[in-house]
Amino acid sequence: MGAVNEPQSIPGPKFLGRLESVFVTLSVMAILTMGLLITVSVVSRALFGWSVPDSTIIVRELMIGAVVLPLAYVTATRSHIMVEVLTSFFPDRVQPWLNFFSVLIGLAALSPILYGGVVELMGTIEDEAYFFGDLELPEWPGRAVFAAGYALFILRLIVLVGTDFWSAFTGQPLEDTPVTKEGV
Amino acid sequence: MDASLIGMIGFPIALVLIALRVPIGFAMAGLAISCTFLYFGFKGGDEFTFARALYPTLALISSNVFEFLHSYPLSMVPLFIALGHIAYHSEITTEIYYAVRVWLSRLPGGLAMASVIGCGGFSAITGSSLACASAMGRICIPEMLRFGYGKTLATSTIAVGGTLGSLIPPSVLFIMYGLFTETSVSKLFLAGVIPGLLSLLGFMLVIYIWCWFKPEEGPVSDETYSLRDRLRATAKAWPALMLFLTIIGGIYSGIFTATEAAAVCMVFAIIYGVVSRKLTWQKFIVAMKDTAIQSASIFFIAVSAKMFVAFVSLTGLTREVLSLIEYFQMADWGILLLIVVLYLVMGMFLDPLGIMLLTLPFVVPLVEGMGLDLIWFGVVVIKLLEIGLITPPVGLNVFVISSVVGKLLPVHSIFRGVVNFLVVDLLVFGLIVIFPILSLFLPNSKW
Repeated sequence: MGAVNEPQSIPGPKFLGRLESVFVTLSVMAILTMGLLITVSVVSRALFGWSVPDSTIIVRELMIGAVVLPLAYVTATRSHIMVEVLTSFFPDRVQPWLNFFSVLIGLAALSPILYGGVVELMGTIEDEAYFFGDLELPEWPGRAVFAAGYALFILRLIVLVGTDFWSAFTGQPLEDTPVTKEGV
Repeated sequence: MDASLIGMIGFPIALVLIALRVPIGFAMAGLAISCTFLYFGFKGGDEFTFARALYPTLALISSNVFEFLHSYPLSMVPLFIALGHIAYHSEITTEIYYAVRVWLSRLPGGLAMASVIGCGGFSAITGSSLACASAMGRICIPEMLRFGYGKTLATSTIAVGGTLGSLIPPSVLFIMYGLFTETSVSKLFLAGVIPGLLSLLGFMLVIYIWCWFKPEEGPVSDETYSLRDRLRATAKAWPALMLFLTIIGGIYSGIFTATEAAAVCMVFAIIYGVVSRKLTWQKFIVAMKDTAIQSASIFFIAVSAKMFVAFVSLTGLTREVLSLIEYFQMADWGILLLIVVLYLVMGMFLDPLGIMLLTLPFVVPLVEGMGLDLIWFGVVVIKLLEIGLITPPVGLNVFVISSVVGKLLPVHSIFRGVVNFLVVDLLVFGLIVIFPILSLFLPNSKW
């Protein structure tokens, strides 16, 4: 809606931007599927006394895709929620250093989540774990989506560390990939 | 190293990072992970051991993050956000404004009152204060200026009207509060209805008094509408009314859970948008993409807050805060006053979601200790955060309006107008605190 997420340029290689757009599209599909699945369950429960088997588990798995996959894109467009009261008073030459500092902190803070996520994914695959329910759905897809989302997120942070350092050091931004409202 | 000492050092560092424009999620996650790592490293001995710290930290973090997101009830957040975006692009949200406008056209300040009601209706569907201020600001402010309304009245009306999104259900802040305090989101939604409507009525009263003393600020419109025009405009607003009744009525009657209401309403909004031909493919894509981005940003902070809460409970920092308060032997009202001041001050500088998730681990045990109702306290917190959206120097809603109007009016002039509404906001807040029944009547009459 309007001013909240205006399109802006994305720094770094073009393929990364495209991959991020694909991930956002997958997230959109996950949200739509969740809505449809729950609605079908509600309607069928009301009309026929029947609901979609394991719909709760499927929605939980879709939630991972819905909220983890767009993280890299959110980072690339710098759409994370942040407070700019104090830093808006800082001189212009300091601003790129603040960007660099932010992504560096992010990279340091979030890498352990990716590592932990990959370890959990491996464990789930090795154990052939599945959810108890009518369909006995495997646990690994949600874990895999989680690891993929965080992997791209970390990759984007690594790219931003490089581009933001370059911008801060030289005062010149690297060539950006323009995006439209629809994507890269 | 003492566990609570780690927390006491880490917390101010996180606040400094947030002040230095580090995204709130990065700062909270950084604090939680590094302090948890230090906690396990020092646990059971005086010397720090890397190997002892690594695996428990990783296990705690990854399981916390994944299990938190792997949630059925939480799916209501992206679904409500999607509903808001779809409803906006299908023009469902703005029809309320046009319907009320024709009814109030002969009243001094009627257009401003219609804008506030429009904001209330918009919020009732989208649940987002900033989106409401941004979208309604673009529609209502030019209209008010066209009819000769004062710039300060026009801009401040939308800035405060936008805050209704936090209190009138569905509200993302209520969902997050419910999640972190383990209280029922459905009850919280119902608890927000009466205080939200009270705030709305209060804002309308301010506009009425404002235009009473300065009639030139809110002139009566020379547009005339027949009864047929009015009924036709009202009929056009049926999808908005239906969505609101489905959410509130469905939850109140027990037909739906809040998650189910979100899904059903989202699907209805899409079908309505397609059938009415207002929702084009391009608008749909934009709406859904914005939904994905907004959901990811919100959940990123929520996940970081979850790690932060896990770390706080590990270190026993809350216990330290509680014993500190016991040491000072503060009365219950004193503690409550302290909490109110804390939220008002933080609201001047920080984002509402960030404030809430940073403070709940400390504040909720205090409130529970006093034996107060957490549903009522949720309304109190959200009202305080709502006030924070319009208080200087940050007042996010005021800055959103400022970006909408550009150089038409300086920010401080919008803040000057907002002060008139703040008086009523504080009055309503006082009523919510003194009369908990205002918040608890609806949820308790159902459950």
